[in-house]
Formats: sequence, C-alpha cells, structure tokens
Amino acid sequence: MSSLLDNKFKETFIDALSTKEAAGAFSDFVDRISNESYKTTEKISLTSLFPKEKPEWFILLLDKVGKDISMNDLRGNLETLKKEILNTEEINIKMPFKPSDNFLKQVQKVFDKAGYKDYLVNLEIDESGGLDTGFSIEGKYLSVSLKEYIRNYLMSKDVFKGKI
Amino acid sequence: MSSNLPSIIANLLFFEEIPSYIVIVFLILAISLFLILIITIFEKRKGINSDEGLGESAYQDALKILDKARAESLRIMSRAQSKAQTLMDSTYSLTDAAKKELDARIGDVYKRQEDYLKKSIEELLITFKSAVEKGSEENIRTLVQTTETLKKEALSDITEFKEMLEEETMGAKEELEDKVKADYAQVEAEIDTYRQKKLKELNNKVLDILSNIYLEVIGKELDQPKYEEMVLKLLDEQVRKSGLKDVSSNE
Repeated sequence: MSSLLDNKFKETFIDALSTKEAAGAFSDFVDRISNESYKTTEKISLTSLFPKEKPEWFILLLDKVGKDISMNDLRGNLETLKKEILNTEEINIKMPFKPSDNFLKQVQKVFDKAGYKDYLVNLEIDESGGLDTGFSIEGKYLSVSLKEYIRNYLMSKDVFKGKI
Repeated sequence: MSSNLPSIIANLLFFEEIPSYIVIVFLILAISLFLILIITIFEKRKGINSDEGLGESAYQDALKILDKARAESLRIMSRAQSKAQTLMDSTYSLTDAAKKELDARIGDVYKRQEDYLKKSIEELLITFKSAVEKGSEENIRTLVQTTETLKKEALSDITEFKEMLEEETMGAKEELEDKVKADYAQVEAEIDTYRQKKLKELNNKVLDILSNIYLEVIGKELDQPKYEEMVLKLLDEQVRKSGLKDVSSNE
C-alpha cells in the first residue's frame, strides 16, 4: 500500500494525469472516496465511484490499489497523493483552440527533452489571440507565433532586397 | 712825461740800465697772459654749461624713446589682438567661457606689459636724475644707451607677446576646427543612426503587412492537424535553439 506514495509511482501517475483538468478530476474522485469512507466501514467499489469513462490514471490507480484495501488506508494515502499532485509544477499552454491529445503528448515530449519533469499541462483556450500559442513553465515563457514564423521566413528570403 | 714812464719804472725796479722798450714788451706780454687767463676761465665756464645742455637733451631724448616704445608696443598689441579677434569671430562655435578666458589672458598680458614699462621708466628717470646731478657726460651717455636697450627689450617682449598671441590664436582656431569636425561627425553619425532606425521601422511595417497577408491566406487553408504540426515544429526548434525565456524579459 505504501507504494502508492513512492516517487516512481508518482511520476507514472502524473504522466498519466497529464493535464491539470485530469488532476482536478482526480481531486474530485479523492473527495468522493473520503466522503464515502466516512459513511461505511465496508469495502467500496472504486469503479462505482467513477462510473463514466475510465481514464488512464484511474486504471493505473486501480491496478496499484488492488481489491484488498482498507478504506482508512486508501483515504489517507489518496489524500496525501492528492495534495502532492495539486502542488505539481505546471506547463501553461495558451492557444486558440482545444488541441488534440496527441498534440499535448508531443508537447510533453519536447519539454521532457528540454529537461522538465513531473509537471501537469494547464491548458487555456483563447480564441481572441489569433494564431499564436504560448507556453510557460517555472516563470519562463515561449511564444510560437505563426505570424512571427511567416515574418522570419520572409526575412530569411530577403524580401526587401533592392526594394528599399 | 709819457716817454719818461718806462725810465721811472726801470728806476723803481733798480734796473736803471734796462731800455724802456723791453719794459713795454714785458707789459704787453703780461696783459696778454691776463687776457688768455680770462678767456680760458670763460671757455671753461662755457664748457660746463654745455655739459648741462647735453644732460637736458639726453633726458628729452630718453623720454621720446620711451614714449615711442610705449606707443609702438600698444600699437603692436592692439593690432595682434584685432587680428586674433577676427580669427576668433570667423569660427562660430567659440563658447562664452572660451571668449572670457581669452579676454582675461589678453588683459593680463596688457597689464603686465604696462606695469613693466611703467616700472622701467620710473627706474630710468631715477638713474637719469642721478646722472645729471653728478654731471658726468659718461653717465649720461650710458643712460642714453640704457634707454635704447630698454626700448629694445620692451619691443622684444611685445614681439614675443605678438607671436605668442598669434600662436595661441592659431592653436585655438585649429582646436575649433577640430571641434567643428567632431561635431559634424557626431551629427552625421546621429543622422545615420536615425536613418537606420527609420529604415528598420519601415521594414518592420512592410514585414507586418506582408506577414498579415500571408497569415490570412495561410490561415484559411490551415486545419487543426496542420496547425498543431507547425506549432510543434516551431516549439521544438525554439526550445532547442534558445530554450525558454524569463517571463520578466517579456515585459
């Protein structure tokens, strides 16, 4: 049971959560577990508390917890894990539309290669911002602007040569 | 009676046998000697009066020489200053402070020259008076020579001053020319910087316009998968090139 809080599991679990939105769902789930655990001393079906679509993190958690578990232990460990998850570093992505899951995974790969670990993606959709996408983490930012890309492309082709 | 007078004198002198014509000759000689003596004394007195006249003349000559020296020195200084002023006026960037400094320096030289001449004349007059009182012709000649020397020295100083003023004026002119050149170079650099800045601004405006046109055209053709692909490509390139920037540097 203690393996629920070890670092290796936490890393895997954060990867599975991936987004702050998923972390929010996990937080709600932990709250429901806690509430139910105070109501009964009987074992609770975790799946019954998460009846809809089962996300990756839930399957991972379910595999880890197993079936023979004391509700008190589960509650305590989950609440600790929840606190740590909510304190995890975030990568903020601001873009004009909701991206695909594959896009987010690819973004995470880029940041993984850049040396960032154990973070959640906080996605913000801003349709008024044109076709620019902004990234920020640990007080640093990077803006990917399609306009800037076109601009650099035009400059690289020396569009002004002989005109000004 | 008169023909007996030599005989009577001869008798009185106990030379009864001396002829009377010898006595007459003796008397003539005595009178001549007396006259010569009188004339000699007169001439001697006349010589003394001539020495006094020489002293007076030398005194007047000395004063004339000194006056002439003073007038000449002032004329040279005035001409040199006028020339310097013309040179200064021909350059436009002489500051008020520089003008004041130059005026002060010229004023100082004037004063020093005036003091020198005044002191020299006073000393010369004292020496001259002493020489006249002693009545020595040699002293008076020495005094005249001294006056000439003084004139030469005074004019020599003036010449040096004139040369120094001209030299400094030319130096100041060269400095001003250098300053004008430096100012011109600075203005030229500022104009060039301004031109480059304006050119850059113009380039940016044109780039903005072109980029917007391209963006509008591309945006219409760009679906989500293509957009995501492009963003991922740019993100990967930028992270690999320069990493993420501090937020503070974006503000």
